Amino acid sequence: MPTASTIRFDPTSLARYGRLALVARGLVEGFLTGAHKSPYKGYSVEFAEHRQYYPGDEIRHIDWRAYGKTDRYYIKEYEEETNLRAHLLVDASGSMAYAGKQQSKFEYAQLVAASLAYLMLHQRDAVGLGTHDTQIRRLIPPKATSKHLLQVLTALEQTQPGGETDLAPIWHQLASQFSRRGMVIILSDCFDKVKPLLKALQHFRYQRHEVLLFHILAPEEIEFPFTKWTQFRNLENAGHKLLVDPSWLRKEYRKNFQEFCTELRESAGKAQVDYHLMRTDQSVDRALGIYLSRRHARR
Amino acid sequence: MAFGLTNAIMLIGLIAVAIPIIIHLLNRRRFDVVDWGAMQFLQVSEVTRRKVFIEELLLMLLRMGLIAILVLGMALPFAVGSLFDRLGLGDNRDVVLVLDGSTGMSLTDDDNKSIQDKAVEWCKDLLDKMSPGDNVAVLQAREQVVFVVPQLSSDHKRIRKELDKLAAPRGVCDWPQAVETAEALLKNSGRSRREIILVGDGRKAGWSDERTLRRWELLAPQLPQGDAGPRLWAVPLGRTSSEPVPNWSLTSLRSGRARASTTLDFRSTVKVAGQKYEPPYSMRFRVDQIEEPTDTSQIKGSSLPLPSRDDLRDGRLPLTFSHTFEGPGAHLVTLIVEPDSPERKKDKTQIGVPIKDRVAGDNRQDFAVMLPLLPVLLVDGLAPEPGKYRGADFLQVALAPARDKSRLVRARVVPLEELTAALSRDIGPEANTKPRVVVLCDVPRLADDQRETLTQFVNAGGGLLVTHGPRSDLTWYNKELYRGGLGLLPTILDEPNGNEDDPYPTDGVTPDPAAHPLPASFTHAALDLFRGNLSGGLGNARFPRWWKLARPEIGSPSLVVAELTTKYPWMLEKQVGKGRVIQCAVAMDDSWNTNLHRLEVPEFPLLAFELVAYLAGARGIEFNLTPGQPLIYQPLDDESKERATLRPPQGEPVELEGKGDLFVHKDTRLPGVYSLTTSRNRTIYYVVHPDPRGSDDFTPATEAEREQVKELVKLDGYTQDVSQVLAASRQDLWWWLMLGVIGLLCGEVWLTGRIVKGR
Repeated sequence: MPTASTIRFDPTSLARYGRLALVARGLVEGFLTGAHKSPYKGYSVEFAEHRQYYPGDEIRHIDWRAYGKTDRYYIKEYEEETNLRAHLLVDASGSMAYAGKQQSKFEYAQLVAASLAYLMLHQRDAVGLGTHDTQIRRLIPPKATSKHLLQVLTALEQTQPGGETDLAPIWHQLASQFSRRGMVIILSDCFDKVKPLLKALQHFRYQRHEVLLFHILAPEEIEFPFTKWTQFRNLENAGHKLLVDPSWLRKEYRKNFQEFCTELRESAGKAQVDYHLMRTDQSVDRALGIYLSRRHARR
Repeated sequence: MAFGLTNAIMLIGLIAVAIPIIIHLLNRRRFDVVDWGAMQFLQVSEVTRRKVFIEELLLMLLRMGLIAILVLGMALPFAVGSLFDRLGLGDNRDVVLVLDGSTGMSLTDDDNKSIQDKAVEWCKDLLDKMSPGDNVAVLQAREQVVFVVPQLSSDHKRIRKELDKLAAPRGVCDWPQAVETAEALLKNSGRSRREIILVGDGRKAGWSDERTLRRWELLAPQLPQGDAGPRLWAVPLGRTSSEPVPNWSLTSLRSGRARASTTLDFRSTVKVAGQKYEPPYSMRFRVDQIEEPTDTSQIKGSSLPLPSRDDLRDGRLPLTFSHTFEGPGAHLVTLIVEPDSPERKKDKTQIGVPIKDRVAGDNRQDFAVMLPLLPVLLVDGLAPEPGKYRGADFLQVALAPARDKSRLVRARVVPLEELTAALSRDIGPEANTKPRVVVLCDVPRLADDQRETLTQFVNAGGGLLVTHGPRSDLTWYNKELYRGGLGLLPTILDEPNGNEDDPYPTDGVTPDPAAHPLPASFTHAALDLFRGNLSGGLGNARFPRWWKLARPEIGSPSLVVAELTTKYPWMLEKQVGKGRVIQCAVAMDDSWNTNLHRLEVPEFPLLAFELVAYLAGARGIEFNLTPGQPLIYQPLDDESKERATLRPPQGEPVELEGKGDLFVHKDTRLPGVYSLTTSRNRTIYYVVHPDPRGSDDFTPATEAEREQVKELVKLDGYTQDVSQVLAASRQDLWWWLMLGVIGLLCGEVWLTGRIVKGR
């Protein structure tokens, strides 16, 4: 049985970027008291607002000081702080197997997912994992126990990329399954049509999830540095090959790719999805550290 | 407008056109394989695909075109036609003008213009119409090609001058050799427009006769095949009628070699063609005059008797005359026949008086005569006895009879003790009469110093005749003069043989025990005059007693000159240093009852002269030459061996430099008289004889014969039209193609840059 140590990530490396935490920007529905704001207001330690007293309310919640000033009964309400339920969705389609000169995108996604899982479990958030290609391969519901990390890592380890990409239907399906609001962290190259992807992301948003989209790309896919005649073999379809002179294809490719990335980023922005491009030639800890720092600053 | 290639073999390079395609295919075969995820972005639009395809195709076509044009340019293409000239884009050309130098070119018409005059006018017309940068060389086709303007030159002014000074036509011409020479001249020409223009009289003789056709056939494979060679034009300017041409001509003047006397007999033949015989206006010969005086009243010469009609045989009149020269030395004899009077020659339109001669180039023949002075020292083995002929006196009388003032030999008899002193003194009253030949007339033996002096004399080029008689000391000759083959003597003396008292049998039955010369054995050059057993010849000589001379072994430097009927050598020869030695088995006097000096052997004086002349080397140099035969002169003792001046028949005098003891001049292509002036102002004449066949046949070549030559040597045509020759010139196209290459190269660079930039 594989152990977590087989995934080559060093959680301590994240410590270089300070006391980082993946903090939910919106409200999350947790089942434990935690670091994130709960949508349920109650009688917790953090004052939220006053409301008019209605018969049946507990008398001990009446703000007598306010009564003294206004001669009316007001009930003090406090915000409830709860833990986060995060779903890590790792794209395991064939295109994620592309490695170039570095590690493959899938390996990169594994490291990112592992790092985030570790990070969130460390702050007592519940982390779940879903891997998929054209269908959901593995779905681990979120848990906040310390043993859960091993389960997540083992699941990541056992997943091999392959098969065709058809992200949007899968995401729709997952959006329907994740009923409690939380955080959805998608790790994918998003090689699909943008519009269906956008709809799927909107579906997550509709379910009131905060969505983080880590767009993982190899530098070769961005820059297309090939010069010699090259036969491109489709990682998702073994029979599909294309022999081309990359020099005359480059401009058109870059233009297409740039348009795709721009459209995806803008669409994500419009759907209030936190889009972040990650290149596999950047170290995971650095990329993640920079992202988390920036996110923390925006809070 | 026609096109061709000078170097068609280069077209093999067109295979290289496939290189861009091969590289493209190889690139397609040698590709990298990448497992790729973002396949959706590799799908370019149809417009882009088409654009890229067109760009790639254009680039490949451009590169293929570049290679194709480069290869085509290296094949040196050319166009034939006048289009480029009309557009002012024509290249300069290299032209070799070959003018006929045969006798037929001196054929004149009624306006007194010879074909050569017309040829020169035609050439000048051509020069007028040529571009300033065009190069021209001029040759004259004769038996040997004469270089008039030897190198291609753009100095048209100088070429005109040289054309004006063109040598008078004489003899025959060798057209194939002239074409070969012209082609060789153009071989190093870098220009594609190369022309050989043959301007001639259009005669069959020398152009399309059987012998010349064979030569054309042999030449044709040597010439560049196809379009690689120069263009070849024939310009026949002669008559087209095949009617006989009225002509008087002289065959070569000949004479025997001067033998002992200054009187020589000359012979030639007058050929009369195209008319009924009427005596010529004049027939004469001159001596020692090269140039014909311009003033006819100044013409000097001895008139010869005009031959009568009865002398005519097959249109030929044999002609002989003799002349006694004033003394030894070089002389020139010129024979001239003048069929028409000077007035008639000037005005050929006179009615009723037919022109006898329309070809002036064959009315003169020259002959060079060299009468050498031969100083001979006769060393007598006997003491002189005044008033009595004995010993060497017989030989002196035979060589230089006292009454003959025209004798060529200066001979002196000296006793043996004066040998050394006499060798350094002149024999005759004239200069340069130091002995050239020494005759030891039955000398018993020599003192050692005399032997040494004589050896030095022979080594330096002198001649030695050793005759053996009763006084010859066998032991001394074999030991001191033969010296085991290292001495002067060709062979050893064996022993005297025969009895001097044996009578001549008169019964006609008894065989004569005496030895006789065997004329059948006279194969040596010194005795070729006596070859054959002629009545009264040397065969009548009788030697009752004679020395047995050992026959030289095979490989020995000695050789037998003549044999006796006894099968023993009569005379032997040996080359020693630069000189020659002849050893004779009998004495040339009256000893041992030899009859050489008697009337029974009238050939004896001639034999003595021939032997002396041979030993003096007087026969070594020719003065009557064929075209191309080197001219050689050996200066006399008092003449400079370093400088001499030669005046050729045409052109400026040439300073000759001595080579060893000789002056040699090899450029004797031009027939005529060459006169060499020595440092002592002596004039030596040489005559290069033209081939008399040049006057034989003036029939023009028929159309079929012309076509035959045209086919053989790939003539571009026969024409008299200058414009046609120039218009059909070839135009080099390679540099146009090179411009195309540069253009395509720029296009390729631009397109590649554009594509790279676009990506």
